[in-house]
Amino acid sequence: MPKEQVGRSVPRVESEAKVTGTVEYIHNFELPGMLHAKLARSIVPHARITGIDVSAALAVPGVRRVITAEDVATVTAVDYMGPAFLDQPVLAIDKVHFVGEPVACVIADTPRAAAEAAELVVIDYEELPAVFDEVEAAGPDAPVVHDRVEAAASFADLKGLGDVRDTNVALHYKLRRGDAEAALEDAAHVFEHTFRSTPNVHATMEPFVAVGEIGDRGDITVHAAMQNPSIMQVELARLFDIPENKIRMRTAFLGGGFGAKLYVKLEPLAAVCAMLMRRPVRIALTMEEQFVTLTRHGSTITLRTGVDADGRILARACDVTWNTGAYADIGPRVAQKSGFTAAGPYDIEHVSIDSKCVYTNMPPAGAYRGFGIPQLSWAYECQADLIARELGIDPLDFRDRNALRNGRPHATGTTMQGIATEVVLASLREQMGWDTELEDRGEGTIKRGRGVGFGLKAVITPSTSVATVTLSGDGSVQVACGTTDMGQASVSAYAQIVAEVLGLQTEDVVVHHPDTRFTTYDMGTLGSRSLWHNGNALIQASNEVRAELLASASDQLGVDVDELELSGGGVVAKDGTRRSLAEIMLGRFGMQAGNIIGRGEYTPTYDKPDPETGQSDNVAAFWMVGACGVEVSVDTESGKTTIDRLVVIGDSGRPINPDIVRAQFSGAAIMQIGMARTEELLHEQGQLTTTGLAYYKVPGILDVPRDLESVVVDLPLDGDAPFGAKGVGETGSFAVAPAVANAIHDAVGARVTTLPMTDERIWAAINDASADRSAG
Amino acid sequence: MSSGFTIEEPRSVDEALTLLAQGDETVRAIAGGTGLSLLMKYGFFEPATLVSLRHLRSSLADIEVTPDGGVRLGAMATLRDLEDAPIVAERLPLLRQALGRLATVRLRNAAQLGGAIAHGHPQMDTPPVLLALDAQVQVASIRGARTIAAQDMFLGYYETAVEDDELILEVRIPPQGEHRATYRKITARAEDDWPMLGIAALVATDGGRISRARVALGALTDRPMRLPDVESALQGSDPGSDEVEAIARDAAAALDLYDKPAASAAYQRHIVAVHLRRALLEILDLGDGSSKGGR
Repeated sequence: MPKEQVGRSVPRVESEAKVTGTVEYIHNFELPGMLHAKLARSIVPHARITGIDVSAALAVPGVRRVITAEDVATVTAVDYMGPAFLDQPVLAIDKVHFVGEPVACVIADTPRAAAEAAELVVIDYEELPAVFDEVEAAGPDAPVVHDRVEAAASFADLKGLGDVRDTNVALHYKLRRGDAEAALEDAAHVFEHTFRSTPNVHATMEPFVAVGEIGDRGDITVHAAMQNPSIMQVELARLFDIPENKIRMRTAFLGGGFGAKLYVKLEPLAAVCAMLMRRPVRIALTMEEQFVTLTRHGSTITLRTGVDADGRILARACDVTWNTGAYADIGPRVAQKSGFTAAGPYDIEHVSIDSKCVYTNMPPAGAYRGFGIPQLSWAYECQADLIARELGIDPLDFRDRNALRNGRPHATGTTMQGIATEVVLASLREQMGWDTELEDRGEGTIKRGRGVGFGLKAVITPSTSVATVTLSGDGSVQVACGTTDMGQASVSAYAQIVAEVLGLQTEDVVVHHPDTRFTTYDMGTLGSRSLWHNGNALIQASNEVRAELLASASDQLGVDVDELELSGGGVVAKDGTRRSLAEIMLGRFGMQAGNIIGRGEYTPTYDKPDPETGQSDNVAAFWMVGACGVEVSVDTESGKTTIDRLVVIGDSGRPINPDIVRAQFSGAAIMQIGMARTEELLHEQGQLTTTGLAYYKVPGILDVPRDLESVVVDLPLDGDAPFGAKGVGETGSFAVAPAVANAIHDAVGARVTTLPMTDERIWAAINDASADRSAG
Repeated sequence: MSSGFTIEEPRSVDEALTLLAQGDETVRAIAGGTGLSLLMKYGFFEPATLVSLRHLRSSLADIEVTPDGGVRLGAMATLRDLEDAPIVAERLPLLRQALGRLATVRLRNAAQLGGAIAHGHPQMDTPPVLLALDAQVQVASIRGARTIAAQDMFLGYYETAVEDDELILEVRIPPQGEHRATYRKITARAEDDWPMLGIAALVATDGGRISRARVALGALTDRPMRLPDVESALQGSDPGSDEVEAIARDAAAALDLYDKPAASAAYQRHIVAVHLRRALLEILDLGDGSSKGGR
């Protein structure tokens, strides 16, 4: 049996169950007597609701009830929810704010009856002017989406938010370091570019689903595909004004999350329906409905960058506008926590950042793998190449020259540590063969080129994880914590960590899915935070179990604790005496009985940034560096472009499970090919026209580059890093789109500025560039 | 959203035809269901009765050479059956090539030839191929049997010449003789998608001259189209690269196109000119078509 659990590529513990179809997904969950709910949604982007006629819907056979905000109010204590601002009702109250906003909910015996009836709910509207573009919405004359919203103040990192009135700007985050304006005045070269990114949908294979049920003590259970059961527990307790111990949130393996299944989605509605009906109620969205539930933020980013004669970036002023749609969701945190990295992974003395989270009459935007970094890197890594080209500097040399390194202050004022910038860039140079010319430049109409990009992300800080590890009388171990395994393999990685501390085999440790009836608080499976935060909690909890076990063994064997070790599934003394864990438990409890329970909690240290300047000595528990290099072939005649090769590189600290880290990097990079090349949400007056996977093209296997390399920079970290590791779930997402744009530019001398970079847009850019050349 | 429908499973073609002859357009035949289920999902079609053809496969899925040297394709052959059939590989390489990039293997395992015609969606790969092969579609109803030429089959968006009470039984492809042909599929976003443009081009040569030319485009408008001007320009000629380029450019210029979410009219026109030229160069052995003038 291998001794090492951590650092070994243990096959995912759930693989067999997944491929044989025996894994539980909430989507397949049923309860006796369960009813089914479907939503009637707004068909206008902004309007007052003047009437709702449910009579035709009620006449559909099998329909039990049609509920609106009025019915919701009979069981709820408050009207609005939301992690940052209280702007999201269970069902629309008086107004609708986007096409697709839930207005009424039909509850019926079958999903079919509910769906048929939902189409028969007649909603009368008095339309209001609407605004869709984030820059327009932030302007002075734009229609105001919400007359007034209150700040939620649920999270430590969002405590500074104020109520919002008569404006669409929900949050204007500011960072000031040095004097960017003065430095721009003095700089030898100043570059100004504006970059726009469009929203994307997560397109999880398992759509949103929740089943509400009421217990015999007035307690509420919601089984849901969700990434943050603890937050939903808090949110529902507040909604119904009942204590958290009467709210049970349960989840299972998720068929994908990517940030979509965070914060208020279907869970409150499922609970309300169950309360009103006194029966279990299931609400499951279609893939199409996913498209109006949550998107990634579209953004408009203007960068003004001052560079000295040697190609050193002296100053950067960033103006970032995020389109958060009609509910702020977690947009304010995107604007703030990713906003503070808007100047990129660079060491810049003078930085100014204005990052605005703006309401529009679009579907809500929130967390999406990368949490704003892909949009920011689209700006700063495209601009990096434009600057390097203009100054005649090799793009990778330019990055090397300006990269932020350990020991240097980030724009927030926090001194960088634990980032492997140099190694990541050196690895990118080596993997791409950057120091030799690209061998194959194409022939005929095919031109080949290569490009790179990299990015930096800070983990959301502060946040808390609590975990318990329980040893049973037979010596088996189970783990209860709040992380949702949505495919990132936390169940495997956590088992490895606990097994390592307790001298067990990974496969013997059972990690439970979150069920707040017995699993403990965790802020959420998001932002690459789980391994670090819960990892620490689990090490602490396992160490408590270990200490008690060794104390018992010491009593039973009459050997000093220092002479004992946990290894190979038992306690081993220096003299070679060995007792299984079951034997120690038997000795302690007198029969196969009892438990030893270890508890751990972790909240990293944090220094709250100054609200006016964003300066902080300690703004993040850890930082992630991710890079991407691509080679493309462009048919200059048709624009047809192929990503022939993609190298994704990230720093992981010491990988708990190297194979899974590699797969995280490549998976994240492939997902971003969608943003870069295929995925586009088109809309007309707020109405999406590319709804569903038939029209919204997620990359398929044929879009995956022929050569795909995933490189793990595995320098172990110290400090709080659990076994030297850090989170890796988003690192591969950081810089795919700009690397592709830079490679296209390298191939054909044309810059594509609009996402996604379709063949047609590449063709148009080639035409524009050649028109410019002939004009010049 | 439909509140429900019944499924009939006839055991014979006659029984199926009787079921389809109720004069009710919400009674429809279903085979692989890959097209119809999408229409039902989006609420575009709400059937009262679906006539499942599943029990008729044994008699309607044959792929065989006809006495005249043509090929008979049973309407219930799956697209995967066709792709894998040695007869298709040998005699209809154009069809085989087109099927290789049609949707996915899973879908090709379900979708069947008759449905691929009757669906009538303009963005499909098989219609231009059937046009280029001069396919004849045999249909039957209780009123009798008739033959519809592929080029008379497609009438518009989800509209075909097949009447509500008719069932497609088989497709006959006349003998193609010695020929060269190619199918080019261009997608606008992901590789696996419905075509933004499909080009089926076929030439037979006799003594150095083109004795027969067929060129059909799919996915551009509401129906696939033959390009008679291109065919007649090629017929009887022995064109060089420059002439082919001019033919393709003129053909593209003459098309009546419109902007779509996935591609502007200007780009569609340009892409037709590029890929029609390349397709013709390829089958005329004037280069591999991916660069001007060959390489």
